Amino acid sequence: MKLPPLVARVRVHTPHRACRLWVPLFLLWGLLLVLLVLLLPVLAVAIGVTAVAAPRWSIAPAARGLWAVLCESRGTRVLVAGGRAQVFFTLH
Amino acid sequence: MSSEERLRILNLLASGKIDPAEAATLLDALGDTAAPAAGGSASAAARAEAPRYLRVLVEGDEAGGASRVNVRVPMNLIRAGVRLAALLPPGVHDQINKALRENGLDLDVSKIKAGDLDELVEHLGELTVDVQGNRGEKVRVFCE
Repeated sequence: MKLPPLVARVRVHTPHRACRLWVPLFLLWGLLLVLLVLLLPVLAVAIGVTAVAAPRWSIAPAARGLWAVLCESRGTRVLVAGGRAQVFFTLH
Repeated sequence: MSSEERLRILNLLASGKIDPAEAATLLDALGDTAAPAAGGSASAAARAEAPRYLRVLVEGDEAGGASRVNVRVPMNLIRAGVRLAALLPPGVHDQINKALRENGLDLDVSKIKAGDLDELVEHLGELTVDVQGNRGEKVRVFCE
């Protein structure tokens, strides 16, 4: 089973300050899961209305696609440095 | 299946010793035993060689120090994005086509199929772009 990114690391270096952040995304996914369960009746109605009003818009494949994009974003790394400042971001 | 066996079956068909249906059955039978082995090893080799990340490196000169951008994007993320883009409803394609045309790119996105895009992403592995500017700025795009 594929999992979304569990941790994001952010590193900021400036001539005056350096900071490292470790963002526990797994807590965010847990909160979102609880929210999703609470909103399930509303979502079910929204899916039903969409299926009738706009049959071309299929929610299930779109949701699967978004989930795949989220899961595959693990391993993304971005480093931006300008002058003597530097920002580094990684998804694990 | 070896080409000799294939040739023998075709010769039997040409000489009238077997009919086309029998030839097809024989070719299928030989193909079924040989094709998975060859295909399996080829796909395993392709998987082993397949690049995992798309890298974009930008180095530039700036007043007050050099600027640098280093991005590593998983190839699977690009694949997932491409598949997601394939879900766009037809009405949206026209808007995208119009926007592309306004930017000088005459492309009909409705004709692009998910399979074609997968193939495109597969071939990104062979891509290397090196650009060097007049003031020493460099852009490199490659897969690893």
